Amino acid sequence: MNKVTFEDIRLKNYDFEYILNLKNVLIKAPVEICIERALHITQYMTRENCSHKDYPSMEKEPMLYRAQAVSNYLINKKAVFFDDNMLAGTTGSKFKSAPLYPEFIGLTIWSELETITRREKNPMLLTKKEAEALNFDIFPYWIDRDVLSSSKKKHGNDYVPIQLLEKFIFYVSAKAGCISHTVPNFERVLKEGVDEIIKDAENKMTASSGETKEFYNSVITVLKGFLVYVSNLADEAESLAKKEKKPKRKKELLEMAVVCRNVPRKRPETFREAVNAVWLCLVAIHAENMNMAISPGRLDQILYPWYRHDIDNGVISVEEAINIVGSMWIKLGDNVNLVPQVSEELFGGASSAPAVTVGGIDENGEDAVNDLTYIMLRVTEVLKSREPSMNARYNYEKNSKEYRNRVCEVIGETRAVPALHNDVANIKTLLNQGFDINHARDYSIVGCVELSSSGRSYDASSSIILNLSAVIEMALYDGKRYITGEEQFGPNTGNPEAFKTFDDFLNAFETQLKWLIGQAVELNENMAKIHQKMLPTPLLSALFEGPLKKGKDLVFGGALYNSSGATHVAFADVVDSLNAIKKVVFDDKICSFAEFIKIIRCDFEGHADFKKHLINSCLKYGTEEEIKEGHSKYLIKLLYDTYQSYTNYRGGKYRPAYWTMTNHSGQGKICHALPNGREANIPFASGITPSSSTMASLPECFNSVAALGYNHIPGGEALNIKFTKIDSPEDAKKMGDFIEPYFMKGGQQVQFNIMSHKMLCDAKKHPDNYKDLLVRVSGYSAYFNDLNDAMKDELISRSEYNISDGKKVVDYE
Amino acid sequence: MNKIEKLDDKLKLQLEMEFERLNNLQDEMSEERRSSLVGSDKDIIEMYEKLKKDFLECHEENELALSGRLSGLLICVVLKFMSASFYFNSHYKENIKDFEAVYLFTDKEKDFCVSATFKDSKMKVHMNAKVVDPTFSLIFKNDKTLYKIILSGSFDMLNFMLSQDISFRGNINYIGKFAYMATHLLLKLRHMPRFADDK
Repeated sequence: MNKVTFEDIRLKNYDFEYILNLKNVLIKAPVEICIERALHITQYMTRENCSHKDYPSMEKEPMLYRAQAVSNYLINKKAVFFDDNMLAGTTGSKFKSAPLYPEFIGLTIWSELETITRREKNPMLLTKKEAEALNFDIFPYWIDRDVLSSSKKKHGNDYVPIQLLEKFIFYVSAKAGCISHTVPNFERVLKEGVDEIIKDAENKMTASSGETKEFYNSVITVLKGFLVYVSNLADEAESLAKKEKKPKRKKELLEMAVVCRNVPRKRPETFREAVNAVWLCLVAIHAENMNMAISPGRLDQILYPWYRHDIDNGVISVEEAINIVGSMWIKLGDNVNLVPQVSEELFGGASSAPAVTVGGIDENGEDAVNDLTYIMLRVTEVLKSREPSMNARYNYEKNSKEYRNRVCEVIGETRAVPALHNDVANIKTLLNQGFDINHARDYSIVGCVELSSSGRSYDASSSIILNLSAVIEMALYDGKRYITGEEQFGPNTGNPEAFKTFDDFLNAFETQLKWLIGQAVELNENMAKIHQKMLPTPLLSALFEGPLKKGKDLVFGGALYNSSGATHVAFADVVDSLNAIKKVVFDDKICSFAEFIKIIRCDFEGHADFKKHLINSCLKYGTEEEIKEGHSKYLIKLLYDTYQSYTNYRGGKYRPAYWTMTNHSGQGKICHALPNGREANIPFASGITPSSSTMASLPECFNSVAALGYNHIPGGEALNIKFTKIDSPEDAKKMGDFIEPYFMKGGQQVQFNIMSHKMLCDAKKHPDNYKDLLVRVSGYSAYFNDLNDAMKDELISRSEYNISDGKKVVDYE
Repeated sequence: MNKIEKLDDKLKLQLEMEFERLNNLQDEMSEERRSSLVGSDKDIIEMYEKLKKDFLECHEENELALSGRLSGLLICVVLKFMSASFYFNSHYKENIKDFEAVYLFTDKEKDFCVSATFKDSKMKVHMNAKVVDPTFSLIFKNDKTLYKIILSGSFDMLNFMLSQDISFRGNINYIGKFAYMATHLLLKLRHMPRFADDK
């Protein structure tokens, strides 16, 4: 059945003043650190005698403690209304909050408490009183109790997996910070309401015992706390309405009070209630889980029945629906990640990456695009905001070209969003991971580009961020890295000077790779045990398919599907390096391995011609020739086989992925020269994207990425493409025509920046003229001005293609 | 004796004098006198500024003058400033109430080993320390790194760790706390605004 009734899918003739005003207020607001949650959680832990250094001791029902602490926060959380947004509920106590989670990585800003307000990059406001509360009351409690400290206490200072993590240059183990990264299941709240979930848990608790009983009790505890918070919101809205002079706002506040009296306690009756219920669930989830990539998922699908009902019955107009969706988009930007200065180097400019997914096909395999899809695209086009992280699924077998081209128009207009995802390939790769066909079809994007069956698969998709440049350096330097000198990390795989064949080098490379992955996986598994002991997630579990049925929290494997994600930095640079070593040292014998390493060590100084040869004459990932004879497919398969050989603590597989956020820039800045001719301290290529020195045309680049094979990339990929401009429906169609064959050949994802070299250089030079220029980094979206200089330079230097012929732009204006 | 060695000796003498002065100040000052100074860091500020001026002069004259043998002494004096500040400022002292930890500051070659022990609301500094099991060890890559950090006036330790200028053993939160205390002193000395509600 065709669910598109709009004659004009561009929705040109509507008034967007309300949502644009909301955006302007949000954009101008400073980020403020919110310590409210940290304060309440810490006070609860102190009050409840959780003061022993080894908290929690196992006999004290740790799951229930956690639930009570979160519930205590929700009950005491301030009910606040800041702007004219028609949705009730805020992530933090500040208008634009950076919530502090002391159990995870909140303490990393300790040294910055008195400088973070004025730091150069992405300052976050903190008052003296708040800083003192953190320094004297909150942080001292957690100094030996956060995830990393607890893990270290258990394993000691000599535990290699943690030593590698703390070097920053091998991998990031996200569990020190959070698990989060998932798409909750809102459907039960929308179809039944929270009261029914509580009743279900109460019934199940009566019939259970031990840890299962404790789990249900925890679910009930947190959900009751959640409802108190929403009830407080209703009270506050009524109280504010009494004082409000403006009739319009007074009416809005009273309406919000009504909404909060009804949802999420009961099934929503209107579209507005349904949207507000989803938002309130996200607020509650963030009371328990760090605000990192908790993604709303397929909002155009789950909210559609309410939208259709209200439109068909004249409850709302399309314009009102636009305002409600716009309000949600603004709400999703009411929080950002709290990061220390150093993270600005690695993850700079990141939002909390709440990914919304639209389009694609439904669970029955039919075209799922509907009127709400087009409303969400239009709101995205008008707002051009960083949040949500917007993703459009495209199924070339089922979705219309009209839809495809409309998505491309929105990308052209916003210059960056949404990212496009290939339904056919992504569904197949999920099937290959053991998903039921209906569940695979109902996939959503998590955070950046990761694939997840909506509300069913708990994927911890950012568990490991592995730096592949560390692997090639360890193979070159016998287990050492250039930057750390003589310090031995990896196994001794021998001095490459003694290698007789390229296979000898590949053996060393594989040994180092498998060793490093082994360390990262071991750490992930061990940190997971800390999460199980200290940080179960009963609230998120209640909003997921599986845990209530199994009587098991998500962190214990309660979800229907489980996996852990591992993404990779410097893929293209490492592939090109392998190709270069083979050609220069072993095939053409231009120099010995010893000479080659010597040249790399001196960062090609005095060897400009040799460097040029490496760049221009060796196989480059991103070309068709490389796919046939190079090492890109080899590395993809090697990583896939290695990760899939591990089963995680929840019974799922490890899934490799290729997105880098800004890690390719941060890690590139501190990595020495590599065999592919990349000089020292230069950003790596991003995500799965070929190096910008590759001179291939766009179709060739697309073909080579598509040829990698989607089944071996189950975690998702980020391919960054830059077009000079897309400024007409014809250009948008051409863009779609470039994408279509790429998807048909198996490419999984592509994201764009529509901006020229000249424009980006100007934006770097005159930031005030580009205050909210949205760019796609490698996965998430960011405001250009929020990025560090290295990341800005990386964006400027990315390959730029001409939309008319797909050729690379060589001579910039 | 060449120019560098002369500079080296001049600075060493200065550092030793400062160290002694700080020691005497803490050891000999009566409780009454100390109480009268509570809340005022005037003496400390003056001493710190003087030392820094002398140090920078030498540094500018010839960077090489700062050879390895001075490193331990330098960090010792810097830590002594912190220690003395706890002594004089009761609000600052709140930072180390109930705080027990031993920090070791050293370099890869173990050319210097300086410890800072926090116990009973006091901070004690020892040169050439032999600490068996420190709570936290901060290991500078080399002397240059040490000077870079001290002279930069930035205690963004995580950034220095990312660039591999320093490494560590122990719970990373402890260096966060230490860097906070150092930054607090530094900002106060420079009269710099620190918070959102500062005017």
